[in-house]
Amino acid sequence: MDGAMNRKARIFLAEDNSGDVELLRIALKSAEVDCDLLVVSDGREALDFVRQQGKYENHQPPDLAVLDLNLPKNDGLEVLEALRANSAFEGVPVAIVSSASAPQELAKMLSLRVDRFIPKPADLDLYLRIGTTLKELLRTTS
Amino acid sequence: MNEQAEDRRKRFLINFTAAIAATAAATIVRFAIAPFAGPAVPFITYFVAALILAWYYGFFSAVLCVAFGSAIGSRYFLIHDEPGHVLATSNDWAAVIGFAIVALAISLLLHLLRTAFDRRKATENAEREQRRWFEATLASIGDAVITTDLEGRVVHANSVAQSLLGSTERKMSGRPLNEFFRVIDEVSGEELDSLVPAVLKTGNVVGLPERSALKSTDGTTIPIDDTAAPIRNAGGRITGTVLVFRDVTARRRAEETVRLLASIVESSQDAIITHDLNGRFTTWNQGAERIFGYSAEEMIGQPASRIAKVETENEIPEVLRRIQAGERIEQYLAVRRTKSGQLIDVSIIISPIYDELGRISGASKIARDIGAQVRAAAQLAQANAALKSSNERLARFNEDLERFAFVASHDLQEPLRMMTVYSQLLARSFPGQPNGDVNKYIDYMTGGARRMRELLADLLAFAELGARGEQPTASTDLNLVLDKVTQNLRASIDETGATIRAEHLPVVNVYEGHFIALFQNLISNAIKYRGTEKPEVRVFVEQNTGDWRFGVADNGIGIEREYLDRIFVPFKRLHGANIPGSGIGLAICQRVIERYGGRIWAESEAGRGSTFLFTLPQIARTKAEGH
Repeated sequence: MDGAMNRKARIFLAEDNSGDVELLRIALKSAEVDCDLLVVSDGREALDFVRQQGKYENHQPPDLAVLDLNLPKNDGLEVLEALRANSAFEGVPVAIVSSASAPQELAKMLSLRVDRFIPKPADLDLYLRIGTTLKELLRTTS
Repeated sequence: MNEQAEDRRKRFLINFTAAIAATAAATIVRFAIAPFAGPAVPFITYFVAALILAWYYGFFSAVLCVAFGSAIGSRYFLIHDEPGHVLATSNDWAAVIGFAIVALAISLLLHLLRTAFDRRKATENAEREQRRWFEATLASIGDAVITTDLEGRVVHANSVAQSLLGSTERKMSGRPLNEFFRVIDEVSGEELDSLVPAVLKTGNVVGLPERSALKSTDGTTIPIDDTAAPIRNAGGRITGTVLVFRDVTARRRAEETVRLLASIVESSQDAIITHDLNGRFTTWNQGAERIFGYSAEEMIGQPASRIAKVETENEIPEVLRRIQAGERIEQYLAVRRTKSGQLIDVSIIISPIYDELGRISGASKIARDIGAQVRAAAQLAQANAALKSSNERLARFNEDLERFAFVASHDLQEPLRMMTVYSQLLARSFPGQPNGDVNKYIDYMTGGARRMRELLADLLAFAELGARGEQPTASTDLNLVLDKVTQNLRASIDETGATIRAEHLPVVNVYEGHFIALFQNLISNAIKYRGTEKPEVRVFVEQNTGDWRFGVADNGIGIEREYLDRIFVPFKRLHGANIPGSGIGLAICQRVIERYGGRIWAESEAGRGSTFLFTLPQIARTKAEGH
């Protein structure tokens, strides 16, 4: 296909709910996105990742970051903020996949520039469509 | 004695001197008239002088004058041809003796006349004096006094009597007393018998009965007190009557005041008691009996320490000391012991009592049993504290509940979402399974999860209504609200063929969303709980004083009366799963209406449709519109 398919896309996913992790895998698979999924399940670890510190010191920025807002320890907005503060992550598209949030959370999120905000759907078909959305996001930025 | 003798001597000298002087004057006058009179009437001037002396200076002076006059007259004026011959003839002697006898006789007569005249004058003076004294006495008596004769005719009436009877002594004198003095019974108004005949008949002192009043000529009545007594002369014979009466208006009033005060004291719920300076009770009212349990008979004369609590007995001398200093003691809180030994809280006001000379003679105490007040105050304080803490608890609980509902409705969505999505995934993982049961079970799962989501959404809506700090500011046209609701319910309206008719609704100061929720719940209920006929929903409004009264009436299945008050309870449902619903709709309606200070209720009977009525205070209205 095109250049993005020349190598596996690297997607960073901060999501504590394994059910959602599984569903996202299915969604990406059904959208035929060939990728390596790096999953962290709490905000603390996600922060380490986006700051490239601790065990992620030598990790390269991913091709796409998918964040849940409601994370244990440090929340998704903190992670997003740290990500934006790290110049190495410049150009990394960010998708927020989260359940409905309070308005002030959404406002802050938007001020930190996100590429997609996707409410977690309660319907399988809608869920599977997330895969397509993420695929498009990968394509436009690569 | 000595003085009398002196007096007599002085009078003798005066009379003697007057006689000499008068004789001398008579002699001079006789010499003066001698050229005209000649030898005629030799003693005429002495005769006049003797008479004058007899009148003014007494018989003795006249005798002297006659004696000297006879001598001088015989010597100088009884003229004879031969000088030096005195009383020369028998005629001369006859003239002198005749003069002397006539002059003395007339002088004596004059003297006697004069004496009688003087005596009579003295008597008259004495009488006048007596009378003046009597009148002065009668006048000085503060009471009205009237005397009558034996026929009951007025003899005297003093000035008090005159003014009380509205007449004068002159007018009354000699007239029957009954004409001026009519006494009636104050209560019955009947005229009472005069006292005069009774006195004259019995000879005793007679008094009027209580409640007698004088009926005056102008018709007004004056309460009087009257006593009549006989007047007896020196011989003890009754010669008339004397009536002494007085206006007792002031006394009656004072008596009434005393009675009133006494009845106030007696009927008072408070203990009103007095004691003397020795601390012994002198009066004890019924209130005191009620509060302390002792009767007046038991307590009068007893020391005040009888009702003091043992350990506070030493208060009493201190109180007595302050009272003796003329101090008034206000709101003195004390503990007292009743007859039954119970200790009670009383509030006492103690004031000194003064006698008529202004000296402090004792103390009056007004004691009130404040046990109930004390207990009530304690209970009130306790209740207030309890209320405050329960209010705080309630506020905290409400906050917790709202937070809980909010969190629950959010967070519970998550696992449900998982259940829904994975059950769908499960269904897709077994396509075309010969065993159809799996799909059926999965349908139940997804159906249950969906229903749970709906419940949580309603719960969230309900919880959000409770959020504080919002004041209604928006002018909301309820007609537009109703249009939106109709739009939202379009599917079920079309499906059931429902008709919705609404009167023109006002513009009110509420949040649109609240009233969309309200009308949507009421109208969707009207459609949902329909009967066999096509649903007909009628929305109406009337303007009462102070509020709007709205109604949503339907022709549905109605509500049994016993459930009418339960339908507003959150999650309370009257129907099973055959009619879907969370049971939160009416609770939301109630919450909306109560938020704006209104009231919501339902009127219905099973099978006869329901009418949901709610009020909205007009203060929330911005613009009145007719309908």
